[in-house]
Amino acid sequence: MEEDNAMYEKILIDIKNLIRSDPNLKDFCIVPINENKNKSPVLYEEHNLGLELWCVKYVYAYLYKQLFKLRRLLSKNRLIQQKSEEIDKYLISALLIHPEVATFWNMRRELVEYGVINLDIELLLTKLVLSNKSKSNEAFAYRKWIVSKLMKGIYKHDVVSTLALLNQEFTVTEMAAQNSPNNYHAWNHRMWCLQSAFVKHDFADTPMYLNLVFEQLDFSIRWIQSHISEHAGFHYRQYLLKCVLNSCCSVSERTGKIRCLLETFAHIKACDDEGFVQQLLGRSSTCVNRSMVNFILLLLEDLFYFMDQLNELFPGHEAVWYHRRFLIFHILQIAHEYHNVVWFRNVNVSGLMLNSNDNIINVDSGLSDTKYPKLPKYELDAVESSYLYKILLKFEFEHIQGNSLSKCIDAQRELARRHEKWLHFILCFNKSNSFI
Amino acid sequence: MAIPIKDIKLPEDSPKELLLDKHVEFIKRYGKSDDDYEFGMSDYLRMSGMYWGLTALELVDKLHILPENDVIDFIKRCQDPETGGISACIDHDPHLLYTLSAVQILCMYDRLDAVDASAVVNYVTSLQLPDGSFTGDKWGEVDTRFSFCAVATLALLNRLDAIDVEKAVSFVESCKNFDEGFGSRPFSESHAGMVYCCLGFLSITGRLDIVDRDTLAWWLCERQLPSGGLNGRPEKLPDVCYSWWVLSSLTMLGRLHWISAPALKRFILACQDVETGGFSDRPGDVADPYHTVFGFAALSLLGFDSIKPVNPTFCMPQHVIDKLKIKHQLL
Repeated sequence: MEEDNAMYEKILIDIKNLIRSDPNLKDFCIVPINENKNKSPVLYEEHNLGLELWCVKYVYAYLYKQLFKLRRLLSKNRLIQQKSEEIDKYLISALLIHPEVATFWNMRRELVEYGVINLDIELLLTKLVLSNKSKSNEAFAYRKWIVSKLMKGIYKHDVVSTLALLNQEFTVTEMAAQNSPNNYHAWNHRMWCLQSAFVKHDFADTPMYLNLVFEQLDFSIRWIQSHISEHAGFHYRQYLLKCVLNSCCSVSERTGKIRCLLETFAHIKACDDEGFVQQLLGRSSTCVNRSMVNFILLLLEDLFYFMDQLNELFPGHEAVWYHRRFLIFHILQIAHEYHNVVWFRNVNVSGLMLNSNDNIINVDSGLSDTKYPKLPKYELDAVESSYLYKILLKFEFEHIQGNSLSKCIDAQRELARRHEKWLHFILCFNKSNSFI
Repeated sequence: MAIPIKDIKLPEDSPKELLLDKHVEFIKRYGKSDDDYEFGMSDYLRMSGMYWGLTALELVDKLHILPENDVIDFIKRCQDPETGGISACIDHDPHLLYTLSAVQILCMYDRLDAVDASAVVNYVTSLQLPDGSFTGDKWGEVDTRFSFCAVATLALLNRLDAIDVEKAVSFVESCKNFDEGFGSRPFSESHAGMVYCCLGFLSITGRLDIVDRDTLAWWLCERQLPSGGLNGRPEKLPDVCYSWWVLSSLTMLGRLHWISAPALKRFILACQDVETGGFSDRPGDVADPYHTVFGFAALSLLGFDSIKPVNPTFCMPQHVIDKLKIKHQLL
């Protein structure tokens, strides 16, 4: 028994020392070796750390007992400083093996509060934990706690240090997102980091802000193209697109390019962004700010250009069609804001005949066969009578038709049918609202 | 090039009847694992594990087969004398997640007297931030799940007045997306689990008016796949636990009839383990109490006679909610 304990201690010390001595550690994993071959189960190769499976059960049981023994002692005597080295050693392995135990992370938080462990080691430890258990909510929560401490230490005018911290977080979240698809916590962490940086420096009206957002938008295109069925990746893009609304900076280099792309779809020419948007939406009665113009152009670029590409290359993906919904919804929403009119949607599904055995999504709506009334039921508002509204309607319905053809795969036809129903019943965006 | 929809195919020999007795045995056995290591690995969520198992038993009128006193005694020992919060297990730190699970169990036994309820109320109150959100414990992690835990705990203790409800509502509202779904924080992706938490929160606070009912119900119905099972986000696999999160949400919205009940029933029944008992996430996987209680609860909402009615907001037997006269809104 004592011999075993000495072996466990040796394992725990080895792991702790490796983490202390190699700041470039990349990965931790449990190596599926089931047999004790009388050599150290701690493996270390090319900055990767491994622990052989056979010992995990025993090591964990041992350190679990030790940790709670120490903890009971500590809560009575507050001996944390004296025992911190020991606790640190147990906690490192405890969390590498089983990161879901919140109490262990809390014990590390206590060590940090006492100033006995250094924050860089904590970034390394959480990175290693996440390399093995990429969806660990507790590990992300702890990392967030550490990152907010680091961010607090940065001066308000020192955006450069924040950007360096952000880049580090981008690397970790990308690794975690690579390891497990649709990693909710990883994407949340990434957005939280960006959001915290924005709040801290309040630099939305400097070019640095939009540069950062555009850099991330470019990253998200690359990400989506290689993770097409991950809605989480699209959601991140949607978050970034909305970030554009916070800044009134002009980014004519970018928006100018977008205009060129859109001219072929919209058949209009304009010498500047504002003029372009005015031709699409008409003259606004209120003051139009720059952020709105940027936002509209970016949404249109995604819809007319990026989505077209994805649709060609990757038919049959719900995530792609959901992004389309986001774009149309926000184009219509911002158009209403532009004209300062209330967007009234009368969501009404009473046209769908429900029976008790079917899902409402699958009920035949008869939409494709219906001849829509040519005349509007009511007076059109400034949005509905705009040129953009017309080309949007035309574009969407051609898109639905084009993807409902018999040459399309079943899943794509099904998604096209669903899109039509969603536009009609939920968005109330249909031909009866316009002269076509 | 054929791209199949991400889904599963139910095996031909899937169970088609409810194997009630096997499930009861499964839960009973689960509480007394022989393997200390396995048992130790689940310490960190033991209180919720107990809530899942005990609720499943009560839903089929078998709560009495486990010793009540042991359960109550365990809960008592998990209340932190300093903060009033309740932990997952003895020696672990208190947290809102386990505080709610403990209070739910105590309500089932009608034994709220076993803990210091006013200390629990103080604990919950202490975790509300100025923006109305709730942290899970004193370390500051914010999540809409914790907003739900906070108001559910307080409602069960009849002390919703102890917090700033209006601010709490505006925080939850700030987590709503254009599809009318909710994420775990502002800007987070819509997720059926968070939709349940947020609708449950709004049901308890009587503010379901802040969601566009049919837009959200539409999104929820799109979670049903050809196998009949429900997923939690687009292009994810179906999972029995989403049968509960989605179905209870649709029930709160008064739109339960919008999905195909027979297809979902088939899927849930196919997730039973015919040998060990219990439900798993998908057919053929290992069963656990978590999927078992949500399997039962979903079947209850679908009108299974052999399971007692479940309350969609609290995921507790309806008779317990009725007896305690807990107010909540359903559309």
